[in-house]
Amino acid sequence: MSGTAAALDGVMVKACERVPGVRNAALVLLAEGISIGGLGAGAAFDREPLVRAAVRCLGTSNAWVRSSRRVTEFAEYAFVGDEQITLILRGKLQPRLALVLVCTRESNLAFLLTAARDALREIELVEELAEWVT
Amino acid sequence: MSPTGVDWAALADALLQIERLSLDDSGLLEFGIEQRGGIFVEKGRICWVAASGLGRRLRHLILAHSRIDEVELDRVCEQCRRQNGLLGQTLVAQGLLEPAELEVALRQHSTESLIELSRAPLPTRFRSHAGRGYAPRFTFRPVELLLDTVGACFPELRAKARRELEALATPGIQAAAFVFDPDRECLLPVVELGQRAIEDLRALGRWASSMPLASLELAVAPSLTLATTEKGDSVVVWWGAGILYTVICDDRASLAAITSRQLAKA
Repeated sequence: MSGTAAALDGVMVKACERVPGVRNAALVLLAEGISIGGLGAGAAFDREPLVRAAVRCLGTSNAWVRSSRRVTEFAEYAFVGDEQITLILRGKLQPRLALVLVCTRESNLAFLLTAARDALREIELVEELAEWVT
Repeated sequence: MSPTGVDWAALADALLQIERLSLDDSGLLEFGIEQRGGIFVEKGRICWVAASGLGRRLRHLILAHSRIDEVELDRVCEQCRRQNGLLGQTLVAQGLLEPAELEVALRQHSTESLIELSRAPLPTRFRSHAGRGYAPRFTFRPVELLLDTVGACFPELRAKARRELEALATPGIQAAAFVFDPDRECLLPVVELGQRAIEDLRALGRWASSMPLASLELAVAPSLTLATTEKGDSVVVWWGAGILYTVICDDRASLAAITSRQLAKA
Protein backbone atom coordinates (compact mmCIF):
# COMPACT_ATOMS: atom_id res chain seq x y z
CA MET A 1 0.00 0.00 0.00
CA SER A 2 3.02 2.28 0.54
CA GLY A 3 3.17 5.06 -2.07
CA THR A 4 -0.18 4.26 -3.62
CA ALA A 5 -2.80 6.94 -4.14
CA ALA A 6 -4.89 5.33 -1.40
CA ALA A 7 -1.99 5.54 1.03
CA LEU A 8 -1.43 9.19 0.20
CA ASP A 9 -5.14 9.88 0.59
CA GLY A 10 -4.82 8.57 4.13
CA VAL A 11 -1.75 10.72 4.76
CA MET A 12 -3.63 13.77 3.56
CA VAL A 13 -6.65 13.10 5.74
CA LYS A 14 -4.41 12.88 8.77
CA ALA A 15 -2.24 15.90 7.87
CA CYS A 16 -5.23 18.13 7.10
CA GLU A 17 -7.11 17.27 10.28
CA ARG A 18 -6.01 20.52 11.90
CA VAL A 19 -6.88 22.69 8.88
CA PRO A 20 -10.30 24.13 9.67
CA GLY A 21 -13.16 23.71 7.21
CA VAL A 22 -11.40 21.63 4.52
CA ARG A 23 -13.90 20.51 1.91
CA ASN A 24 -11.56 19.22 -0.74
CA ALA A 25 -7.86 18.84 -1.29
CA ALA A 26 -5.40 17.58 -3.85
CA LEU A 27 -1.73 16.78 -3.71
CA VAL A 28 -0.26 17.70 -7.08
CA LEU A 29 2.93 16.88 -8.96
CA LEU A 30 3.47 20.17 -10.78
CA ALA A 31 5.71 19.03 -13.62
CA GLU A 32 3.45 16.12 -14.54
CA GLY A 33 0.21 17.97 -13.79
CA ILE A 34 -1.30 15.02 -11.92
CA SER A 35 -2.93 14.49 -8.58
CA ILE A 36 -1.29 11.82 -6.44
CA GLY A 37 -3.61 12.12 -3.46
CA GLY A 38 -6.70 13.86 -2.30
CA LEU A 39 -9.47 14.15 0.19
CA GLY A 40 -13.08 15.21 0.20
CA ALA A 41 -16.03 14.32 -1.96
CA GLY A 42 -15.54 13.06 -5.49
CA ALA A 43 -12.93 11.03 -7.29
CA ALA A 44 -9.53 12.05 -8.65
CA PHE A 45 -11.27 13.19 -11.84
CA ASP A 46 -13.30 15.72 -9.85
CA ARG A 47 -10.09 17.21 -8.52
CA GLU A 48 -8.79 17.99 -12.01
CA PRO A 49 -9.67 21.73 -11.71
CA LEU A 50 -7.55 21.93 -8.56
CA VAL A 51 -4.63 20.38 -10.40
CA ARG A 52 -4.95 22.75 -13.36
CA ALA A 53 -5.18 25.78 -11.06
CA ALA A 54 -2.04 24.65 -9.20
CA VAL A 55 -0.11 24.24 -12.44
CA ARG A 56 -1.25 27.68 -13.66
CA CYS A 57 -0.11 29.33 -10.45
CA LEU A 58 3.02 27.38 -9.58
CA GLY A 59 4.11 25.95 -12.94
CA THR A 60 7.60 26.93 -14.02
CA SER A 61 6.29 29.26 -16.72
CA ASN A 62 4.58 31.43 -14.16
CA ALA A 63 7.48 33.07 -12.41
CA TRP A 64 7.50 36.87 -12.42
CA VAL A 65 10.67 37.85 -14.29
CA ARG A 66 11.47 41.52 -13.80
CA SER A 67 13.57 43.79 -16.01
CA SER A 68 16.43 43.47 -13.53
CA ARG A 69 16.31 39.71 -14.40
CA ARG A 70 15.29 39.15 -10.81
CA VAL A 71 12.92 36.22 -10.76
CA THR A 72 10.14 36.24 -8.21
CA GLU A 73 8.70 32.79 -7.63
CA PHE A 74 5.55 32.72 -5.61
CA ALA A 75 5.16 29.86 -3.18
CA GLU A 76 1.61 30.40 -1.95
CA TYR A 77 -1.63 31.58 -3.45
CA ALA A 78 -4.88 32.23 -1.59
CA PHE A 79 -8.07 32.78 -3.58
CA VAL A 80 -10.47 34.38 -1.13
CA GLY A 81 -14.11 34.16 -2.17
CA ASP A 82 -17.41 34.86 -0.46
CA GLU A 83 -17.97 31.27 0.61
CA GLN A 84 -14.63 29.56 0.36
CA ILE A 85 -10.90 30.05 0.39
CA THR A 86 -8.71 28.05 -1.96
CA LEU A 87 -5.07 27.73 -0.96
CA ILE A 88 -2.34 26.56 -3.32
CA LEU A 89 1.01 25.94 -1.63
CA ARG A 90 4.31 24.79 -3.07
CA GLY A 91 6.31 22.25 -1.11
CA LYS A 92 9.39 23.58 0.67
CA LEU A 93 11.28 20.30 0.77
CA GLN A 94 9.74 19.10 -2.48
CA PRO A 95 9.24 22.11 -4.75
CA ARG A 96 7.75 19.81 -7.41
CA LEU A 97 4.84 19.23 -5.10
CA ALA A 98 1.81 21.41 -4.43
CA LEU A 99 -1.03 21.14 -1.97
CA VAL A 100 -4.40 22.59 -2.97
CA LEU A 101 -6.97 23.04 -0.24
CA VAL A 102 -10.55 24.24 -0.63
CA CYS A 103 -11.83 25.46 2.73
CA THR A 104 -14.94 27.13 4.06
CA ARG A 105 -14.72 30.84 4.72
CA GLU A 106 -15.28 30.71 8.48
CA SER A 107 -11.63 30.80 9.45
CA ASN A 108 -9.25 33.69 9.42
CA LEU A 109 -6.95 33.66 6.35
CA ALA A 110 -3.72 33.91 8.33
CA PHE A 111 -4.75 31.05 10.60
CA LEU A 112 -5.75 28.94 7.63
CA LEU A 113 -2.43 29.58 5.88
CA THR A 114 -0.47 28.60 8.97
CA ALA A 115 -2.46 25.38 9.36
CA ALA A 116 -2.06 24.57 5.66
CA ARG A 117 1.72 25.10 5.82
CA ASP A 118 1.91 22.72 8.78
CA ALA A 119 -0.12 20.14 6.88
CA LEU A 120 2.10 20.34 3.82
CA ARG A 121 5.23 20.06 5.97
CA GLU A 122 3.83 16.88 7.51
CA ILE A 123 2.94 15.45 4.10
CA GLU A 124 6.40 16.20 2.70
CA LEU A 125 8.01 14.12 5.41
CA VAL A 126 6.05 10.91 4.95
CA GLU A 127 7.71 7.84 3.44
CA GLU A 128 4.77 7.19 1.13
CA LEU A 129 5.75 10.23 -0.91
CA ALA A 130 9.28 9.05 -1.68
CA GLU A 131 8.58 7.10 -4.84
CA TRP A 132 6.68 10.02 -6.37
CA VAL A 133 9.22 12.75 -5.82
CA THR A 134 12.61 11.06 -6.02
CA MET B 1 -5.79 44.01 -34.30
CA SER B 2 -7.57 45.12 -31.14
CA PRO B 3 -10.94 46.96 -31.24
CA THR B 4 -8.96 50.13 -30.62
CA GLY B 5 -7.02 49.52 -33.84
CA VAL B 6 -3.72 49.54 -32.00
CA ASP B 7 -1.16 46.78 -32.31
CA TRP B 8 -0.17 46.87 -28.65
CA ALA B 9 2.75 44.49 -29.00
CA ALA B 10 4.28 46.67 -31.72
CA LEU B 11 3.76 49.80 -29.64
CA ALA B 12 5.23 48.28 -26.49
CA ASP B 13 8.21 46.94 -28.45
CA ALA B 14 8.92 50.39 -29.91
CA LEU B 15 8.68 52.06 -26.52
CA LEU B 16 10.85 49.35 -24.99
CA GLN B 17 13.59 50.18 -27.50
CA ILE B 18 13.57 53.71 -26.14
CA GLU B 19 13.43 52.58 -22.54
CA ARG B 20 16.60 50.58 -23.13
CA LEU B 21 18.53 53.64 -24.35
CA SER B 22 20.85 55.36 -21.92
CA LEU B 23 20.11 58.72 -20.36
CA ASP B 24 22.72 60.25 -22.69
CA ASP B 25 21.03 59.04 -25.88
CA SER B 26 19.17 61.41 -28.17
CA GLY B 27 17.82 60.70 -31.63
CA LEU B 28 14.85 59.48 -33.61
CA LEU B 29 13.15 56.09 -33.70
CA GLU B 30 11.84 55.97 -37.25
CA PHE B 31 8.75 53.96 -38.19
CA GLY B 32 8.35 52.36 -41.61
CA ILE B 33 10.52 52.10 -44.67
CA GLU B 34 8.76 55.07 -46.23
CA GLN B 35 8.93 57.07 -43.05
CA ARG B 36 5.47 57.23 -41.48
CA GLY B 37 6.72 59.16 -38.50
CA GLY B 38 8.86 58.62 -35.48
CA ILE B 39 9.58 59.14 -31.83
CA PHE B 40 12.08 61.85 -30.98
CA VAL B 41 14.21 61.15 -27.96
CA GLU B 42 16.20 63.58 -25.85
CA LYS B 43 18.47 62.19 -23.16
CA GLY B 44 16.56 58.91 -23.02
CA ARG B 45 13.14 60.60 -22.71
CA ILE B 46 10.50 61.18 -25.37
CA CYS B 47 10.24 64.80 -26.42
CA TRP B 48 8.01 64.54 -29.49
CA VAL B 49 6.12 61.98 -31.55
CA ALA B 50 5.47 62.71 -35.21
CA ALA B 51 2.99 60.83 -37.39
CA SER B 52 1.99 61.55 -40.94
CA GLY B 53 -1.36 63.34 -41.08
CA LEU B 54 -0.99 64.86 -37.61
CA GLY B 55 1.37 67.68 -38.52
CA ARG B 56 -0.95 70.44 -37.33
CA ARG B 57 -2.50 68.60 -34.42
CA LEU B 58 -0.36 70.21 -31.70
CA ARG B 59 -1.54 73.62 -32.86
CA HIS B 60 -5.17 72.54 -32.40
CA LEU B 61 -4.42 71.08 -28.99
CA ILE B 62 -2.64 74.22 -27.80
CA LEU B 63 -5.61 76.32 -28.90
CA ALA B 64 -7.97 73.91 -27.12
CA HIS B 65 -6.00 73.72 -23.87
CA SER B 66 -5.11 77.43 -23.45
CA ARG B 67 -6.46 80.93 -23.94
CA ILE B 68 -4.01 81.87 -26.66
CA ASP B 69 -5.63 83.00 -29.94
CA GLU B 70 -4.69 82.00 -33.48
CA VAL B 71 -3.04 85.33 -34.37
CA GLU B 72 -0.73 85.17 -31.39
CA LEU B 73 0.05 81.52 -32.04
CA ASP B 74 0.90 82.29 -35.69
CA ARG B 75 3.25 85.06 -34.55
CA VAL B 76 5.14 82.74 -32.19
CA CYS B 77 5.20 79.94 -34.80
CA GLU B 78 6.85 82.30 -37.26
CA GLN B 79 9.35 83.47 -34.65
CA CYS B 80 10.26 79.85 -33.83
CA ARG B 81 10.69 79.04 -37.53
CA ARG B 82 13.12 81.92 -37.97
CA GLN B 83 15.12 81.20 -34.82
CA ASN B 84 14.86 77.41 -34.93
CA GLY B 85 13.11 77.59 -31.54
CA LEU B 86 10.81 75.13 -29.81
CA LEU B 87 7.20 76.29 -30.12
CA GLY B 88 5.80 74.99 -26.86
CA GLN B 89 8.68 76.12 -24.70
CA THR B 90 8.71 79.53 -26.40
CA LEU B 91 5.01 79.95 -25.63
CA VAL B 92 5.70 79.09 -22.00
CA ALA B 93 8.73 81.39 -21.85
CA GLN B 94 6.63 84.27 -23.18
CA GLY B 95 3.89 83.60 -20.62
CA LEU B 96 1.33 82.69 -23.28
CA LEU B 97 0.92 79.14 -22.09
CA GLU B 98 1.08 77.59 -18.62
CA PRO B 99 3.62 74.75 -18.27
CA ALA B 100 0.81 72.39 -17.24
CA GLU B 101 -1.18 73.32 -20.35
CA LEU B 102 1.79 72.56 -22.58
CA GLU B 103 2.39 69.26 -20.79
CA VAL B 104 -1.22 68.18 -21.36
CA ALA B 105 -1.12 69.20 -25.02
CA LEU B 106 2.21 67.47 -25.65
CA ARG B 107 1.10 64.23 -23.96
CA GLN B 108 -2.15 64.16 -25.88
CA HIS B 109 -0.34 64.87 -29.14
CA SER B 110 2.21 62.12 -28.45
CA THR B 111 -0.57 59.68 -27.55
CA GLU B 112 -2.54 60.35 -30.72
CA SER B 113 0.62 60.07 -32.81
CA LEU B 114 1.61 56.78 -31.15
CA ILE B 115 -1.85 55.34 -31.87
CA GLU B 116 -1.43 56.37 -35.50
CA LEU B 117 2.05 54.83 -35.73
CA SER B 118 0.87 51.56 -34.15
CA ARG B 119 -2.01 50.69 -36.47
CA ALA B 120 0.16 47.93 -37.90
CA PRO B 121 3.61 46.57 -37.10
CA LEU B 122 6.20 48.69 -38.91
CA PRO B 123 9.96 48.22 -39.04
CA THR B 124 11.74 50.65 -36.74
CA ARG B 125 15.26 52.03 -36.74
CA PHE B 126 16.97 54.31 -34.25
CA ARG B 127 19.22 57.09 -35.52
CA SER B 128 21.27 59.03 -33.00
CA HIS B 129 21.53 62.78 -33.24
CA ALA B 130 22.11 65.69 -30.92
CA GLY B 131 19.26 66.86 -28.71
CA ARG B 132 17.51 70.18 -29.29
CA GLY B 133 17.39 71.32 -25.71
CA TYR B 134 13.92 70.26 -24.57
CA ALA B 135 13.33 70.95 -20.89
CA PRO B 136 12.94 67.68 -18.91
CA ARG B 137 9.51 68.86 -17.73
CA PHE B 138 8.27 68.60 -21.32
CA THR B 139 9.77 65.20 -22.06
CA PHE B 140 8.27 61.90 -20.93
CA ARG B 141 9.24 58.40 -19.91
CA PRO B 142 8.19 55.74 -22.43
CA VAL B 143 6.03 54.07 -19.77
CA GLU B 144 4.10 57.31 -19.19
CA LEU B 145 3.16 57.48 -22.86
CA LEU B 146 2.25 53.78 -22.97
CA LEU B 147 -0.14 54.32 -20.06
CA ASP B 148 -1.53 57.46 -21.71
CA THR B 149 -2.10 55.57 -24.96
CA VAL B 150 -3.88 52.66 -23.31
CA GLY B 151 -5.88 55.17 -21.25
CA ALA B 152 -6.89 57.11 -24.36
CA CYS B 153 -8.31 53.89 -25.84
CA PHE B 154 -10.09 52.88 -22.60
CA PRO B 155 -10.94 56.25 -20.97
CA GLU B 156 -13.71 55.06 -18.66
CA LEU B 157 -11.68 52.15 -17.35
CA ARG B 158 -8.70 54.41 -16.84
CA ALA B 159 -10.77 56.84 -14.77
CA LYS B 160 -12.14 54.00 -12.67
CA ALA B 161 -8.70 52.43 -12.18
CA ARG B 162 -7.18 55.77 -11.25
CA ARG B 163 -9.82 56.40 -8.57
CA GLU B 164 -9.30 52.93 -7.14
CA LEU B 165 -5.51 53.13 -7.05
CA GLU B 166 -5.42 56.69 -5.73
CA ALA B 167 -7.48 55.51 -2.78
CA LEU B 168 -4.68 53.04 -2.01
CA ALA B 169 -1.82 55.50 -2.41
CA THR B 170 0.14 55.11 0.82
CA PRO B 171 3.85 54.60 1.45
CA GLY B 172 4.99 51.02 0.92
CA ILE B 173 2.51 50.31 -1.84
CA GLN B 174 3.21 49.93 -5.52
CA ALA B 175 0.31 49.09 -7.74
CA ALA B 176 -0.73 48.70 -11.34
CA ALA B 177 -4.08 48.30 -13.03
CA PHE B 178 -4.55 46.44 -16.30
CA VAL B 179 -7.37 46.35 -18.82
CA PHE B 180 -8.12 43.33 -20.94
CA ASP B 181 -7.91 43.49 -24.71
CA PRO B 182 -10.41 40.79 -25.75
CA ASP B 183 -9.11 40.42 -29.29
CA ARG B 184 -5.48 39.92 -28.40
CA GLU B 185 -6.29 38.27 -25.10
CA CYS B 186 -3.67 40.28 -23.30
CA LEU B 187 -3.58 42.62 -20.35
CA LEU B 188 -2.59 46.22 -20.97
CA PRO B 189 -1.27 48.45 -18.18
CA VAL B 190 -3.49 51.51 -17.78
CA VAL B 191 -2.56 53.09 -14.44
CA GLU B 192 0.34 52.58 -12.07
CA LEU B 193 1.54 53.80 -8.71
CA GLY B 194 5.31 53.69 -8.57
CA GLN B 195 8.06 54.05 -11.11
CA ARG B 196 7.95 50.76 -12.97
CA ALA B 197 9.48 50.25 -16.39
CA ILE B 198 7.47 48.92 -19.34
CA GLU B 199 9.27 45.59 -19.15
CA ASP B 200 8.33 45.25 -15.49
CA LEU B 201 4.70 46.12 -16.14
CA ARG B 202 4.53 43.65 -19.01
CA ALA B 203 6.03 40.91 -16.85
CA LEU B 204 3.68 41.77 -13.98
CA GLY B 205 0.68 41.65 -16.34
CA ARG B 206 1.80 38.32 -17.80
CA TRP B 207 2.14 36.84 -14.34
CA ALA B 208 -1.09 38.36 -13.01
CA SER B 209 -3.11 37.05 -15.96
CA SER B 210 -2.79 33.59 -14.46
CA MET B 211 -5.00 34.67 -11.53
CA PRO B 212 -8.26 35.07 -13.48
CA LEU B 213 -7.37 31.93 -15.45
CA ALA B 214 -6.83 29.93 -12.27
CA SER B 215 -10.10 31.34 -10.88
CA LEU B 216 -11.87 30.04 -13.97
CA GLU B 217 -10.34 26.61 -13.40
CA LEU B 218 -11.57 26.69 -9.81
CA ALA B 219 -14.97 28.10 -10.84
CA VAL B 220 -14.70 30.82 -8.21
CA ALA B 221 -14.93 34.59 -8.34
CA PRO B 222 -12.56 35.58 -5.55
CA SER B 223 -12.74 38.94 -3.82
CA LEU B 224 -8.98 38.86 -3.92
CA THR B 225 -6.04 36.60 -4.55
CA LEU B 226 -2.98 36.83 -2.37
CA ALA B 227 0.33 35.55 -3.75
CA THR B 228 3.33 35.25 -1.46
CA THR B 229 6.97 34.34 -1.98
CA GLU B 230 9.01 32.31 0.48
CA LYS B 231 10.68 35.54 1.62
CA GLY B 232 7.29 36.99 2.44
CA ASP B 233 6.94 39.44 -0.49
CA SER B 234 3.27 39.69 -1.32
CA VAL B 235 1.12 40.74 -4.23
CA VAL B 236 -2.63 41.18 -3.89
CA VAL B 237 -4.62 40.77 -7.10
CA TRP B 238 -8.29 41.36 -7.75
CA TRP B 239 -10.53 41.73 -10.73
CA GLY B 240 -13.34 44.26 -10.89
CA ALA B 241 -15.43 45.80 -13.67
CA GLY B 242 -13.05 44.84 -16.44
CA ILE B 243 -9.90 45.89 -14.60
CA LEU B 244 -7.25 43.67 -13.02
CA TYR B 245 -5.55 45.32 -10.05
CA THR B 246 -2.18 44.25 -8.71
CA VAL B 247 -0.81 45.69 -5.50
CA ILE B 248 2.73 44.90 -4.41
CA CYS B 249 3.02 45.18 -0.65
CA ASP B 250 6.50 45.79 0.75
CA ASP B 251 5.54 45.22 4.36
CA ARG B 252 3.00 43.43 6.52
CA ALA B 253 1.19 46.63 7.47
CA SER B 254 0.40 47.54 3.87
CA LEU B 255 -0.60 43.94 3.13
CA ALA B 256 -2.99 43.92 6.09
CA ALA B 257 -4.44 47.27 5.05
CA ILE B 258 -5.07 46.19 1.45
CA THR B 259 -6.55 42.78 2.26
CA SER B 260 -8.85 44.18 4.96
CA ARG B 261 -10.02 46.92 2.63
CA GLN B 262 -10.75 44.50 -0.18
CA LEU B 263 -12.47 41.97 2.04
CA ALA B 264 -14.62 44.68 3.60
CA LYS B 265 -15.71 45.80 0.14
CA ALA B 266 -16.67 42.29 -0.91
